Amino acid sequence: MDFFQGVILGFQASLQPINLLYCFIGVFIGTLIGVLPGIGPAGAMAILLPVTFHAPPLSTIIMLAGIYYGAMYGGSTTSILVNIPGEPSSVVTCLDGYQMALQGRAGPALGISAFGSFIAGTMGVFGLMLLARPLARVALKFGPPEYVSLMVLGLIILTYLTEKSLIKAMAMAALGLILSYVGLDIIGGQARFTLNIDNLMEGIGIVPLVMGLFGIAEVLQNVEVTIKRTIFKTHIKGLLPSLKDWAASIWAVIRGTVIGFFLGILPGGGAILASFVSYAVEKRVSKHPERFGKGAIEGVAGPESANNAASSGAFIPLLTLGIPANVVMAMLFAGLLIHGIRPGPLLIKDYPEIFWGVIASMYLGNVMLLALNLPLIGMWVQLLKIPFRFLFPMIILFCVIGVYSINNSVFDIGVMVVFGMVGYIMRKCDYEPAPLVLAYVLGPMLEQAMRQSLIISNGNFTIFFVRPISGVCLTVGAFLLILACTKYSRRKRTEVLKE
Amino acid sequence: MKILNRISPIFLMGLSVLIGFGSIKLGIGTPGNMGPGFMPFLASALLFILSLLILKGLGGVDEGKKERPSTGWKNLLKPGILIIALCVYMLFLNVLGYLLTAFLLMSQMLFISEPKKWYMNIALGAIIAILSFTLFKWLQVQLPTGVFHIGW
Repeated sequence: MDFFQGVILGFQASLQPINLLYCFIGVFIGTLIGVLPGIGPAGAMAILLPVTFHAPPLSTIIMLAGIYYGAMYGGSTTSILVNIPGEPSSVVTCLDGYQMALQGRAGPALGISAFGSFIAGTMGVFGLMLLARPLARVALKFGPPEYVSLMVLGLIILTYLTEKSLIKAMAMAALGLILSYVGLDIIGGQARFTLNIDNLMEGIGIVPLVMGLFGIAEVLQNVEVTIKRTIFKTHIKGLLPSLKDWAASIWAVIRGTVIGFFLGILPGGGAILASFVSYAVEKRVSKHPERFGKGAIEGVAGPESANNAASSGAFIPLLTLGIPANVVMAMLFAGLLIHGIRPGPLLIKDYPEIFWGVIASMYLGNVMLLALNLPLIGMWVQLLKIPFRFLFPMIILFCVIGVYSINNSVFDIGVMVVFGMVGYIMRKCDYEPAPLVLAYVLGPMLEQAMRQSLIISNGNFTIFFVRPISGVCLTVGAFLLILACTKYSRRKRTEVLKE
Repeated sequence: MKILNRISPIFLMGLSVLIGFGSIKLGIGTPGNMGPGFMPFLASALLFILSLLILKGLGGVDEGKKERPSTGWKNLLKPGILIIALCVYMLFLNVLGYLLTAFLLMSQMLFISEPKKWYMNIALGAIIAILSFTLFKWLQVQLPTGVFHIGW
């Protein structure tokens, strides 16, 4: 199937009424969870996974993908109007977005954020279309050693880019690996660390784990203190940015798109990193860097474009290599597996309607998001007025029923509560849950690929270093680890974060 | 917080030791023929070393990095009640069924934030339980009926 046939097939599939409906539900829920602080896209996807059991596979993936890129759009609204990021990747939008709102320019800030997101999202999908096929062809040449090295590199990058302690992030990745080995051994069928509990024979479910670490832990932390949200009280007008605003922002949007897309592809990278890098770049290239933090429109346009482009780029490792680049992609990976579809280089060949359908739906989703985020901005602003004391019981209820309905098992609720407490304590001690979840997802694949590699090499570990792609990945990983340990690098990281 | 920062690596070290011994018991095998305990052993060894580094004070948050505003341990009452409520909910879900347990859980959670408006919390709890029940039924989610078979 050639490129154009694929695109036509994708649009044919995604324009089916059922898929359009699921796409709309996805982007709507994505915007909603982006607007409402408290639950991120990973948690929302975990909640909705059981709901998708009865839906066709393509509709499921379209909806889950819509939640991810929809959250990137919605996250900016709270950053601009409330100075609270609805989504971690919108943290940097607070800096200039809220300042613009205070200066009576909330409309242009929201407008450029939506238009920038639309342009970046659409360009990102175009990039995904162009790059995914050749990359999948290259990935077909990958053997188990290459997969081992790529997964190790992904985990190293994720821990390297952590917001907090590198060592703690690595410890969490190791813990995630250990948790992934609970259950029956994939080859020998031996029970591992199941404590003689039958429910653990199939391992710890990803949904209870993610819901606990992200959903319940977040609620537990938020109920501790009542945060009063001060919504910017003004009539939001002039959502369409002026020509002057466009002139100031257009290059920021383009740079943000390119930066975001390529950082999104990196295993372990993603929207958060992309938005921060884009902001730093904009500040550096600006003729008036002193305006940043005081309401510079480029400070909104760049990061918002970057996080949307990154959300498209993040699909590349998943769809071509079968390796989720971040936690949200791990949830999407789980969604595909539930429907018996294994992401990887053969996805384009074996399930072309899924591959092209998801990509085409992202174009349509971006158009829907533009409509949802500009004319309907007032509705989202009203939603911000819902107090957290009404929101958190709903989040808990959806988490509980979402987890229960997978296997109709109360045990799974228990697992979720336990991981909720673990996540809460982790937050108290500055341990990040993302490396744990990614390692948990990659663990079984890593073990299988490792076993295959060592069987091929008769137990010789040099196989990981002598094969070119594998060797390069491990060298880059080792370089990053050495870099993280050097004083210069630590000082530089501190400087960048301070900035 | 300082105490917990000390306890957490010790806990992780203890866990890694347990997993390490468990892995040896499962059988590590040889590199050419890996046993079921090989990968867990590697992961536990890594966790042990990293926990040791954290315990030595190398796992602190770098200077200049943005930390979440910590509320300390003074406000543990509400999260504690919430955990207990979830445990009770878990125990009674299959016995009392979805509607009754959801109503009790919702009312209790609303009570956590506004203890004075108890009548309002009960009414809201009932509304949320019924509305969510309708939504989940529409989404074809199977919910427990309990011994009273309420909701069917």
